[in-house]
Amino acid sequence: MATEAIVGTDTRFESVFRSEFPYVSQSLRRLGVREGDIDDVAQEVFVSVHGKFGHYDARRPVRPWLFAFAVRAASNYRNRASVRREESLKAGAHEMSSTGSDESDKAHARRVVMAALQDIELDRRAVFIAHEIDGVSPDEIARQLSIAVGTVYTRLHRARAEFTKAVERIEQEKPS
Amino acid sequence: MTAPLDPRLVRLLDAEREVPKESPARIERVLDRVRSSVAGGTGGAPLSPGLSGRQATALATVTFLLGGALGLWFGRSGVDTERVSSPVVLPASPATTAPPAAQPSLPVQPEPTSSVVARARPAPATVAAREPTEQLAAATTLDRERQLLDVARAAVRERNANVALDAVDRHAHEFPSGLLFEERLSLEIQALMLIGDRPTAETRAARFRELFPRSIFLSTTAAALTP
Repeated sequence: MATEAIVGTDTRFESVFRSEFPYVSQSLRRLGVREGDIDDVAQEVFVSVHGKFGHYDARRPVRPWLFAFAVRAASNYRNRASVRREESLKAGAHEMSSTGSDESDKAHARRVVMAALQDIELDRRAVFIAHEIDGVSPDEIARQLSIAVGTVYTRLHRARAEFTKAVERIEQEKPS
Repeated sequence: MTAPLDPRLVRLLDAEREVPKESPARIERVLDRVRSSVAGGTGGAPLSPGLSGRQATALATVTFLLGGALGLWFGRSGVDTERVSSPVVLPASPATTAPPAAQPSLPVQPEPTSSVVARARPAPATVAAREPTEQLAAATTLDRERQLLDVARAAVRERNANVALDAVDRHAHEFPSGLLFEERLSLEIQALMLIGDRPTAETRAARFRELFPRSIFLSTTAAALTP
């Protein structure tokens, strides 16, 4: 009986993994994890997720729940990285924003967004991504990140200002 | 409760909402690694340079057992056991005893997988093991403190007050009375002045002078407060 429960949990976990790995990977990119490190950090996320899978409330959307793990892993990742590496992350992101003159508008927009996100401090960026990109409500963000709803709004407000400023800067730097 | 974003920015963000597909091979490869980690294999990549809680526990256990074995051996061999330290279970690493309070909001990290434990460096001989391990834990903590304040210092230099205050807040959260508390307070005062919060900066500065009357950061702090 217990074995069946474990097998059932693992099956559900693998199902979530397969369907949500792309989302987690993309979230990690948005949170500043370098492409070469995505698989390692995603592995870290899902190992954590597996450990907590029994606590997951299936009535709630899975992405905000996974996103909280991704934020934690990205935070650990950045803490491990040196300041120099952090700077190179930003530099890389800025380079990304200015490459590919003949790329599609959509691809260009994505590059600009990704580069601008790197200018926002991680805690605020997480809230910004969850709300503005993933469309998660402030209440749900507060619940998943265990922060006050007021903090969500404060971070969102500041992140929006930073994002706007970063996009303006990137657009100005764009090669003519 | 929040004003709508500029429509131009909304259009940009619309482009990012679609999650790109990942190749099935990549998904399966990472899933295999997760399975290995969860099952105690060695597929997991080493994700943390420092000793995590479980690594420290594993190291402590091995040390304990080795210590016991050595103790027995010395006892049987007639060696003066007074000269051999008793095996002591090592204190957990700072990561275990004090999880980074800067992210209290985020899900509690479950214990690292056995794959990571399997990669824990082998325990040296009992007598010598404890000291380097403690040094390592202390060094890791100090490194982390230094990292945070490096960010704050660089941000102050670039007059980026928000980043500086975030780093200072994080340091205060993780290391309320850390080794670099003095420098943190000095950086906080400088960052507060950058955002124009002179009253708070002056209150902090008064406290700083009280706590550290001979601080090497006094002149920097005073200069920051100079109009």
